[in-house]
Amino acid sequence: MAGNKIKLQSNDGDTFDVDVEIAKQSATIKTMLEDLGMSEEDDVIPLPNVNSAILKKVIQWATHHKDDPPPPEDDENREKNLSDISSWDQDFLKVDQGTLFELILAANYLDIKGLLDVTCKTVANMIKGRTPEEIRRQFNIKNDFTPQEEEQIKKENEWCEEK
Amino acid sequence: MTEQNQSELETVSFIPEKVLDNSSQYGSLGSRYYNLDNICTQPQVYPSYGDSTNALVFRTYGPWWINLPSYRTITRQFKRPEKEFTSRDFIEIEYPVLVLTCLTIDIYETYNPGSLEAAYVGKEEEPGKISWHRVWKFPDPFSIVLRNGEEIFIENGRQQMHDIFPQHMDVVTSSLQSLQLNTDHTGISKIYTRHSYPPAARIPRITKIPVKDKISFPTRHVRLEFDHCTANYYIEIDTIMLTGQRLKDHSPSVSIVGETKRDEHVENQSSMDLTKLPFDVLFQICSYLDLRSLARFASTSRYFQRQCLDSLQFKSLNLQPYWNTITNDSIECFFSNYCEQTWYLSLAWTRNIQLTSFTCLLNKCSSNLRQLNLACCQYLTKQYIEVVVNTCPNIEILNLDACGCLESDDFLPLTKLTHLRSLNVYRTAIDFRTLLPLINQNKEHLEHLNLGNCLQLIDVAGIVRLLFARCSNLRSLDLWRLRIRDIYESIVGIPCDLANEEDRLSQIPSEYQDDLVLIYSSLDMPVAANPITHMKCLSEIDFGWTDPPAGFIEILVQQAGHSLIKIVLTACRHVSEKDIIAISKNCPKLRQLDLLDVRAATEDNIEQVLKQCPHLEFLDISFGANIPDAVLEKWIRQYKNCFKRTYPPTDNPDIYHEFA
Repeated sequence: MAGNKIKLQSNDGDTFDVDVEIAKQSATIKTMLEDLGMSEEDDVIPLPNVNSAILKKVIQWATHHKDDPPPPEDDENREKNLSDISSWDQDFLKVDQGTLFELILAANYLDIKGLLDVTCKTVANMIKGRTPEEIRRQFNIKNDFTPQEEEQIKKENEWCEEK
Repeated sequence: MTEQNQSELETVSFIPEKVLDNSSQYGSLGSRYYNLDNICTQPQVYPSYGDSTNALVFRTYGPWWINLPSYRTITRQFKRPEKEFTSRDFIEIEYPVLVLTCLTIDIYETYNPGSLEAAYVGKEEEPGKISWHRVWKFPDPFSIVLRNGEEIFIENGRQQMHDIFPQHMDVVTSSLQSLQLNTDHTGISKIYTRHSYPPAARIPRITKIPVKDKISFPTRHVRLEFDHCTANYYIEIDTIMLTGQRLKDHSPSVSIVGETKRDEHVENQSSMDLTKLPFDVLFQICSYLDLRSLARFASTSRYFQRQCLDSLQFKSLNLQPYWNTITNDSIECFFSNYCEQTWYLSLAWTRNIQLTSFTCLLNKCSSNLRQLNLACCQYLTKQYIEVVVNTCPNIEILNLDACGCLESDDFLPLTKLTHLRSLNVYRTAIDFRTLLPLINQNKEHLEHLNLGNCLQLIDVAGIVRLLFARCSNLRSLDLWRLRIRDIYESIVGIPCDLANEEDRLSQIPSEYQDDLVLIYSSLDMPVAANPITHMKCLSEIDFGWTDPPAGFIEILVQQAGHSLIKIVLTACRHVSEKDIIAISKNCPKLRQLDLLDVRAATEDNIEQVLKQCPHLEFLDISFGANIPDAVLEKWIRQYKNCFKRTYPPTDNPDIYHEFA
């Protein structure tokens, strides 16, 4: 099997030759290959939800992580850890927010657990420890609460103050 | 500061008047030894370094306790990361007078220093009602003072020998305490802490926490929190002084720790934004946030308020990190709204939660609730316990650790619980009237029971016998400092004299005898000896200070040793050589063995244990076995074990000498 390639096609028409084993990190593609018998080299797998730029990034990520052990099932005993992002992933994810969100959507659609985890953690790190106003600025969120609602939220969130 | 001003100042140091509250202590209640009240004196140990009965000592230290199934049972459901909160024990102290301008809190650390995690000072809003203001958190800057008065400023929390005195490193003593041995590293690596292993150079020192200009009110209350999960051995503190100035006019000072503003950079505009993410992705992002960040994120807009505050985000709800800011309003107006799916709830360390708010919260959790942690909740009364039992009948894990406010009768409603797997009533006034029916009712489920330091059990013997006779699923049992006596034989099948049993019952205070007879008959109490212990899964047992007779441990491990991973026999002076040999032969899974002050421990029988228990990672041989250093070093090389050996306070003329 090693060395077998398949073609992935982005929604803007570009095709990419990818090692089957690398592509199979996507559970979505894996299922397509196995259930639909799409294993011939000439077959092209269309990915209507992913554009070319993002697909390129996804393939780059999957290629780097091709030898990773399979991601652990959600470990019942394990606390969620925000700080275990490898330095390669950190560099890889130094992208603008739009790209980061597109990557999340692609990881979600392609069902690549490792990529989804690390992108979600990156977003969580951008939220963690900040005030609502800082988060709004970070993500360009419009505050649509009425002054009365704001007052109410402020009261509800009194326990959030650091003393 | 001008000279003229200085003459108007008087710097005074105060010793504590009393301990108001605390989370745990090594010593027995009512005894002076290793009692937290020991800090209410002038320094007695300092400048010596070592283990002293005159110091403050908490019950646990290091990663070993944390790394056991009994501990994981109570923590593993709380998965939301709360990395700002890593405190494990606390103490609250009152000083005799109000100090107008506080300068420093001076902590005399005389054994295994460096685990201080946070310091608060209290403002007495009205008598008995103290609000706590955090003035310091590790690794904020602080200083340490050595015996010669030399003051070393520590800016970044780094305080190990190689950080502060690299030229004085002593490889030999350090190796005796090394953690890089048989210890379960995967387990340890999951323990989140800000401290290094070990937390600091092992030298006697005064840790000075700067308070100047951090508060604008006079105070006589201090609260310290510790994270000792990286300490090599018990941490001991001689005293905690509050140093302040008396000023003629005290200038208004800066208010409490302000929030540091981050550098903000506004991101490029993009058509993509957070609101385009599907709910399950946003849900995953939210699950990585600590509770405070989640609430703040949710208050950015209506959309995120709806999306983020999903009741499934609150399946486990740990309010312990927010013990200082949780109010009745926040419980009624906020948390109660989202608790319909809450299975695991911790209110540990919280203060002054009114019965109405408590009831409101538990009503929402209702029959979903499986775990409730109320450790150190000193506002509890019998009414609260009734609410727990009546609204949350499916509780499996209940923690009332150190709830000293509850009286014996207050526990009685607990007898209605029928799904209990884990019960921690360490250091409470619970007695047999609650425990006997409770144990019997939950005998099939009960896995973990902590009765350590419960001094009002009255019928300890009956309780222990019932456990051994009926609770075949028991995994961990903590009997620390209980007076068991007269019962050891019958729990492992040695026939005992029935006349003794009558004798024993007749010694129970007469006001309890009627109750006891009634309960015994309703439970069909086992009287005769068990042929064999029924505990097939017993993995942790703590007999510290209970002093079983010679031969008991031998029979116990022959029957139940195959599954034991931890045996604590601290100060069990009647344990015999045969008992220790039996441990070596019958406990192939053993990881932790505490033989502190067990006098039968010898070079020979300990070597047997080392040879035959390949998973052993922790062995305390303080006081008992007299093992030459050379032998110990040979063992460390050969068996990669972590040995614990304490010693009384000693002095060393070389102030840079690091103690073993």
